[in-house]
Amino acid sequence: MKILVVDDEELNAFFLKKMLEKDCHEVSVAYDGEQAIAKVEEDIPDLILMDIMMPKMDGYEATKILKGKYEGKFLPIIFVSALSANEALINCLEHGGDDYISKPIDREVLKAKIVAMERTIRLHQTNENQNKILKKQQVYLDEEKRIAEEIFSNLIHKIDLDPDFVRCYHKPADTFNGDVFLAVNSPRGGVNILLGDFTGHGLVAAICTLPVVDVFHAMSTKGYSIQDILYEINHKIHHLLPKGRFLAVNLIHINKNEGYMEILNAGMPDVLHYNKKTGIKNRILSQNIPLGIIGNGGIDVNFQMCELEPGDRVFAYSDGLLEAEDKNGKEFYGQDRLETVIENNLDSLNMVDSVKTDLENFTSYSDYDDDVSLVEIICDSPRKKLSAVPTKENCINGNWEFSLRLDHQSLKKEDAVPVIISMLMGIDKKNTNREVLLLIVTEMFNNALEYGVLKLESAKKNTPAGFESYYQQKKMRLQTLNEGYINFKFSQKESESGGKLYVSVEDSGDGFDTSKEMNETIENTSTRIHGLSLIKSFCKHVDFNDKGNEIRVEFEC
Amino acid sequence: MPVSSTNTDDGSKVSIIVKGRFDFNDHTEFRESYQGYKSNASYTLDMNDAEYMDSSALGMLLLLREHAGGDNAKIDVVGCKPEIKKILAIANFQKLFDIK
Repeated sequence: MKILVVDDEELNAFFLKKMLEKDCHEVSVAYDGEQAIAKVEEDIPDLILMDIMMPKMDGYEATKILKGKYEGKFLPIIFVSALSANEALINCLEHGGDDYISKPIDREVLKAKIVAMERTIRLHQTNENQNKILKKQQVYLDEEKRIAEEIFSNLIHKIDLDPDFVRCYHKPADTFNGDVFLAVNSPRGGVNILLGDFTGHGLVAAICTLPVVDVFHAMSTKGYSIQDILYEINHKIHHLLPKGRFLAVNLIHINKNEGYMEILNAGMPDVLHYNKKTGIKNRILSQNIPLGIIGNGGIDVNFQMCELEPGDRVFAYSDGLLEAEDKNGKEFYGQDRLETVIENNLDSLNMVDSVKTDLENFTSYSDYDDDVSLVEIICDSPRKKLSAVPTKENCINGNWEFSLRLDHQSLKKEDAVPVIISMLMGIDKKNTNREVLLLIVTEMFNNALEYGVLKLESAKKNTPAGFESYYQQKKMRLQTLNEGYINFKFSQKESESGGKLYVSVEDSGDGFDTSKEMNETIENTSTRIHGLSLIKSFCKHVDFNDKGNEIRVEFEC
Repeated sequence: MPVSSTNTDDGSKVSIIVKGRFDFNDHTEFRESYQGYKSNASYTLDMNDAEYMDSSALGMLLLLREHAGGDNAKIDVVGCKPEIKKILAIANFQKLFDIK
């Protein structure tokens, strides 16, 4: 061991040095406190034997300085003193010393004390080494966690939408968030929204969100209906997740063109549908088991249809909001408080902010036990202005045509929209006007199905009650459909400016008096005409056959 | 001990009693309370003294259901306080358990 002997009496120091060197220690000497400090700075010893009374700086003072300077490192100091034993021991421990040995020094006692001190030094070294490893690991883990968290938040909160349409706020209880919020434009028109809450929080819950994100994005962008997306998510997580884990979820499809939303609540708190003028008008209660618990064979899904009017908003949130505790841990935030905030701030431009501020006041900015998510959907913001500009590049595939016939069986079983969308996208991957095109085709298909094949009357949709029953009728008639068909024809021809795409959709229905409705304008409230005027606004030509069961459009792409 | 269980001599009826807060901390104890019993036994979950349950407790109920035969499980949940009833209702667990 490297030992520093500090003593102002040269003779004492000399004998002590010799004594220690006999036991194979490496010994250096200092003759007062100041020198001792200088020696330590030069080369840190393993142990210091310190005299107390010395000129310039005494042993207590030197110890105080050294202990302060090398805090965090174990620098053992044994006081050597002629003072009476008890008093000296107390004094030396009070001044930061580690042990005491009395003068004259007994060789065997000193040896024993040094051996004991060596044990303590080894313990400290092991401890220090382990701490170093732990610290390194911690830095490594923190960095991994940070990167993973960044990837996750990019993934699960990716919203490719106008902030004027949805607003959201997330506060994870842990680094990782078990809440997931997704919003994706559907090529069939409208927007799909998912707010989900996995059992628990932290890493495990976050990992569970990955397959959901995947399915939701892929299926939404391909134009699948919100119902099909729900079944696929349930199927996937039912097989993937360990038993006892599940996803509480709100799945919402907002269709602003037709002024309605379809919404499912499975295990989430009440979704509030309110109007800026009249307050809360609808409360969408959980009527379904959370996803992932039972297979698709056993679930019975209840989507609710709600009509949307100007000024309508939808407010959804995870139960972490209701269960956020005040700073004393005595009270939950709760449903009543939330609804009071909403009712008191109906004209708020940003309800998420209003609720968030209230929540933060309530919790005094303390941490939450569960992830908190708030989402506000503004249902009446104007649709993104779509436009279609024909360009030559859109026609690189030259002339092509195909037709598709769906009979009553396939109309019943399969949602035709994603099938058509994937065909068109397959041919024209890079078409810059695709969004508009898909919207037109979806509208043409919906008209053919609802008014042609299913013979529904669009006027019925104009009252809230009629609206509900319209969609119930649609579901029922589709289930019991035993005749009918829809024929699609698509053909594209190259032209000077770009290309012309001709689409015709013929249905098995009775047709309608085309002369009357063709002249109506977009302001008309009839949904059929609304859909029609949408088509007209994008197409160069729109006409019908005489019977009125086939619509033909020319679209410049 | 917040979770305890008793059974009839032939093991055909098992009752599990949960007390206080029913959450993730009771995970092991809850599992041990039913693990030794047959899957075709009929189970009663006594919630008279339970004050609160969180979503991981819902998950634990699902694990019990799995142990007791999944869709064929016979599980009665009795004595729920209104707050707990509400949590079960939001998750629509009345479709999976007999809540009395």
